[in-house]
Amino acid sequence: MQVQRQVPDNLVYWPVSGNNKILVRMPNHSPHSEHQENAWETHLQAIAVERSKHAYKALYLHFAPKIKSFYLQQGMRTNAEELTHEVFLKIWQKAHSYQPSKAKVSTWIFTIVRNLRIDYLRKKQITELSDESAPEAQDETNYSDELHTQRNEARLLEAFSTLDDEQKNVLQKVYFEDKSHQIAARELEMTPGVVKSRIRSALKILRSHMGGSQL
Amino acid sequence: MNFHPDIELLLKYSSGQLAPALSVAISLHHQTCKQCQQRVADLETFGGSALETLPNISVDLSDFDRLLVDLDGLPEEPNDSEFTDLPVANIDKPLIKQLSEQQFSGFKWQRLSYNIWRANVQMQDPVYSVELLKFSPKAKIPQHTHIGKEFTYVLQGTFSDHVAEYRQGDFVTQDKHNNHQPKAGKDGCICLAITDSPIKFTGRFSSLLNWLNR
Repeated sequence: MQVQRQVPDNLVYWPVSGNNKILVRMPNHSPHSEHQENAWETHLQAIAVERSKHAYKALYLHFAPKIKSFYLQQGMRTNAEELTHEVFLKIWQKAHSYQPSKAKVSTWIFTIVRNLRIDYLRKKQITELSDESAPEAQDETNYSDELHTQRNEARLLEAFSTLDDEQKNVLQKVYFEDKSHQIAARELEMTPGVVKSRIRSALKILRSHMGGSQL
Repeated sequence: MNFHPDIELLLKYSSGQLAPALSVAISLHHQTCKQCQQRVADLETFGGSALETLPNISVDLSDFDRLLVDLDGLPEEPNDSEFTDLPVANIDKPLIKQLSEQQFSGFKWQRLSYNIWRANVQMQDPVYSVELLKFSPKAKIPQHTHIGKEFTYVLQGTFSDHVAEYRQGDFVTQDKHNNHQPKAGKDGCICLAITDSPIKFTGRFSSLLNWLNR
């Protein structure tokens, strides 16, 4: 009698390649995202006008985990929580200055997150660089600089929509998550060479949409 | 205004990854250039979308309670300096104010030749050195080459080389391939120059200038 070897066809021996590539969702116009966007605008308004802690908490529950993630990814392990805390204090203080005509809520929050990161790293760099020549203290006046930027998602954003997902992912990892080409390559399952060439081609497309002359 | 920072510089600027000295120079251009305001706004929108796609890291609800406690006694307005939205460290904003208001007398000017002055700008940038250069009307800037890259922001007046004329508000990038001999315009010129290595003068009197430039 021949013994047939059992073939365990119900087992999978190779790792299932997980769909761990996060796609950058560019502002699209699906009803859902617009609805969500309007909701955040309403929340910010409630924070600004009614000082609503309820709206504040909703905003916190949605954005804090992502902000913390942003700081953690950028190597600010010990300070991610503290910086996230500071972001929300700023949100509370600045909610009234948010202008829906100029930026989406996520964009507005991104600029606060980014600027706190810049301040944090700059202070750290200065302390590390020198301990004797402290910068001169200068008066800080309260003068709000109005950048007359109209909210307009055309132009560069239009160029972004012509990028393919690989190009968008690479730009996001390298420029907005501050990752090295090596790490971006690993996360996106590409070789570093491909990452570099995707960046080059993406920059070329964006550059061609800039107009004007660059040297 | 015809000369703008390249898209890669704008990407780094908008995502907060640029060296402090370059951020200051680009922010000066950013404030006055409508096109770049639009570009930066677009890149920030990209940043906002990127933020939305990040994986959620769990936060403790006690963190939120701590936040509520801190809201009491928080000033109504953040203790921000002006230019609050620019992607520049607060500590560098007084310099931006000084330069955008064209207050040049507070710097320590040093005469390089009868029609060229320079002033060091102390920024504690780990990579770049920053200086102000002032040229009398029609002054010929000695022939020089760039060992590394040089970024120039035109604060006042004009200068020109064999490529173009650069006016107030222009942001010009030059690298080691540009061995050029620019000339200041009829009203002279004041520039902010950012270099990652010293400018090397190549023409007549160059050894003297290189020595002065040390």
